[in-house]
Amino acid sequence: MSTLDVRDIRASHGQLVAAQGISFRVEAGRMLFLAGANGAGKTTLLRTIAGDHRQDGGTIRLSGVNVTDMPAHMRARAGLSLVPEGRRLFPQMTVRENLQLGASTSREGPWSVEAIYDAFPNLEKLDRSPAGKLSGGEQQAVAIGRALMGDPVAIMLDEVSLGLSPAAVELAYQALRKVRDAGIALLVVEQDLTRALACADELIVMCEGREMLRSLPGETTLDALVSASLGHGKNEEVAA
Amino acid sequence: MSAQIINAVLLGGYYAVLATGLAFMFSVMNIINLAHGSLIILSAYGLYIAGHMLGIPLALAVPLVCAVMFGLGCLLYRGVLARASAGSELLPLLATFGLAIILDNLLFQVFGADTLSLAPLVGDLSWASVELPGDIWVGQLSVYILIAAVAVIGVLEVILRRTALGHRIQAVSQDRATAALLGIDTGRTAAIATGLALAVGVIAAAALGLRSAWGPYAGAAQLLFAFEAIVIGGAGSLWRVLAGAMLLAFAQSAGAAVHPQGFLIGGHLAFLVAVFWRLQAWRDRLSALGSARTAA
Amino acid sequence: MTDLTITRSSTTSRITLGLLVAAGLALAALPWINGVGGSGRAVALLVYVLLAVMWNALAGFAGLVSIGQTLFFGVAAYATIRLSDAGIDPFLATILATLIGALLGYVTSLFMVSLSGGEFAIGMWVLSALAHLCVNLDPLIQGETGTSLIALNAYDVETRAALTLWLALAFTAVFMAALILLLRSSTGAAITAIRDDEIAARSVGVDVLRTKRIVFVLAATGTAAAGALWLTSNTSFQPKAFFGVHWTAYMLFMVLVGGLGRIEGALIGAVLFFVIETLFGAYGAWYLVGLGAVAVLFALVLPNGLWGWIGPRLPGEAIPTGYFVHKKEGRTQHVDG
Repeated sequence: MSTLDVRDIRASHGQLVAAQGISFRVEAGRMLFLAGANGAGKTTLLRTIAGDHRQDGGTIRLSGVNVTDMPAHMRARAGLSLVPEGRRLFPQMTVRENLQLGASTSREGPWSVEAIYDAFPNLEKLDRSPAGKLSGGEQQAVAIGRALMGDPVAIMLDEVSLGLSPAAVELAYQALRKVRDAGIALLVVEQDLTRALACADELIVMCEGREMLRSLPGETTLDALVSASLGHGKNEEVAA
Repeated sequence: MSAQIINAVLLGGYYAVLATGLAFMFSVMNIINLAHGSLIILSAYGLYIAGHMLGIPLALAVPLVCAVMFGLGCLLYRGVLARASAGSELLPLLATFGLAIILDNLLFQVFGADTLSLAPLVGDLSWASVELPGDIWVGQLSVYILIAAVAVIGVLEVILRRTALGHRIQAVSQDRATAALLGIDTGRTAAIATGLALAVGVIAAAALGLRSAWGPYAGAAQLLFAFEAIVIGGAGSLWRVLAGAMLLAFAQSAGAAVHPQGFLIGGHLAFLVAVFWRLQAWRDRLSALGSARTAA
Repeated sequence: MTDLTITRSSTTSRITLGLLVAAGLALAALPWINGVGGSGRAVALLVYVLLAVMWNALAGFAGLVSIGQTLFFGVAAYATIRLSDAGIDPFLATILATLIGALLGYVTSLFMVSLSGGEFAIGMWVLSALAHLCVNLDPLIQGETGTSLIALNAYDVETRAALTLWLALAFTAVFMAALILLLRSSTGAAITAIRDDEIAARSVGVDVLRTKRIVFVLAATGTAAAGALWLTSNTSFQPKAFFGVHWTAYMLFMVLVGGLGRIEGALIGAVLFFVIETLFGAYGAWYLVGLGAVAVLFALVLPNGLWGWIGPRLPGEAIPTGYFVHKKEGRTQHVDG
């Protein structure tokens, strides 16, 4: 039984199809990367899985439980968490208050504000700072911490490295590896293909709402990923 | 002169307690509830029934009616506001105005055109006065109302800023989608916030009923007072509502000093001045922004 | 290559125009058919039409919900009283009062239109309340006691009723035409854009504030005309009867039930309201409870009103403000603006 089991998801923006028939599974303690160009439908796919966007078809199971008909907050309470693009912290609230909001899922688990500060030592001194005053990297850490506070079984992260300095990206990925080692299933949207190739347990490349390529990182190359994200099929050669 | 100023401050206390529920609802849900005044009048009739007809002491009647109105607020959100705020921006205005029309006329049908008062429930208190230094006498009741206003605003501010419920309400008001992703039941949270706003209205209803009398159509005037206090105070924390309410009362007192019928006119003019002043401030900010961009 | 033809009118619009003209002619002939009583009711219907069409233009097209359109309704009636008291013929006074309403609308638009939704809604109400209080201060009005348009006594009853009706017809025709022409002009395209998506309209360079102000002034003028007509038809002026918030309830009902954002909707709403008022008006407060309940129900369940249901089922538009693009294969596509 996979932690996150997504089958044949379809979603659209009006008449524009954003995701057509995407399926995948993420096991506990594994990191699945979702890559693709802007407009490939990655963000919509994540929001649809989280229940924040209307779903046109398909099923979503979380640890075997069908959550397809649940609204977003019930999916969160079932253990599915989304760290949205741009982090979406509450800027006037302090770091601690933002983290505490993450506990709104009322789930049992190991995470508390103190446990988050142990995992992200740089956050402790920012305890009482308004989240809006933090750097991008610190905000990303708070956003991941806020997701953990809900004691989820699976976390989806949208555009992890967007707008972060290289050092901050490195910190964020260190944190993600810790999260993975804690046995949480991770679904990560990442535009940086080199990074995806380096960190992923498994990779999916999307283009125009479709899956173009699915591979283990050891069995593919950067060129193949680039080519797939431009919409070329698995067997087509890049015209170089 | 100083007696007039003190009386205006005390009247401001009444307007503050009147405006707090409206401001609370606007700040947490971006809904201007045009039925706010009518709901306060409904609460006043509720207090009248509890106090006069059932003989419940006011100290018990207020929390009782608060609980009823809290429940009604939850229903109001579930039945009307949730649907209305899912549509266009105009719908909450149209729906709550329609609700006000329904309430006003229903109250007229049920209770008739008579004006009622809660003053007999508290005996001496409605006319008792206290002496302040400088040979100034003020109504004891209006002092209590001012204290109640400060207490209500203080309690709401503490709930909003210091409690988990308050943080959830803030989260829902600032970013509903993200709040839901964190596992917050946004509908339930908004329903509770509406309930709180209506429960606060019961305090306002008690103040209205004790200091004067009301009829079935008094809601419109209360809504205007509340709204004027909010606009004069400006957006921000609920404490600004208190300041706006005081300024409104000053303007009305000044109007009454100029002309025997100038009381309401003074308040309306103060509202217009506040609107003008804010447009000016808004323009200044825009031009400052423009020049900053040119400089860069 | 496909041949495209672009047209505005359709069978539906020609039928609608025919019906409107026939209705206008029938109303104009009413003084000879039905006498004074019938004319009075006809003026009431036309006043409702004016109010509905104008409030719909404001709320449906400019996105401005006003609780205080009674400002213009009441001030125009008051101005008619004042002008006729100064010796001006009451019918001329009605027209002049409408112009005063336009001027008041222009001045008000300078600062009110840039307010946000709720602030504008109640802000207009405050202005109306302020005007109401100021009118009450006028010794001629004697507070809530009011006065009447005595100068009308110079005309005999039949002439007065007929003249009022024809004036009402002329006003209604002029304001309907003005609104339709406005919607068909380049400003109309901007209005449609704002109605559909204000932020998007702004981003493609529509001057939202200017467009809203044009609609606001037109709505103010039309509402003023309605107020002056109501006075001429009923002769007595009691401030509460003109500045009262029940008028806003009527406008809300007519527009929500008929259909927000469509002229046809406002027309249907006004006619429906006229019928309901004739049948149930005597029930007083219960009648208002019913009006409010129906309006809220429509807002929540059928936010596009009756016309939102009827309109799409008709071939073509009844009152066309956009264009139709016909391809040779016979498929028709509707283009707004």
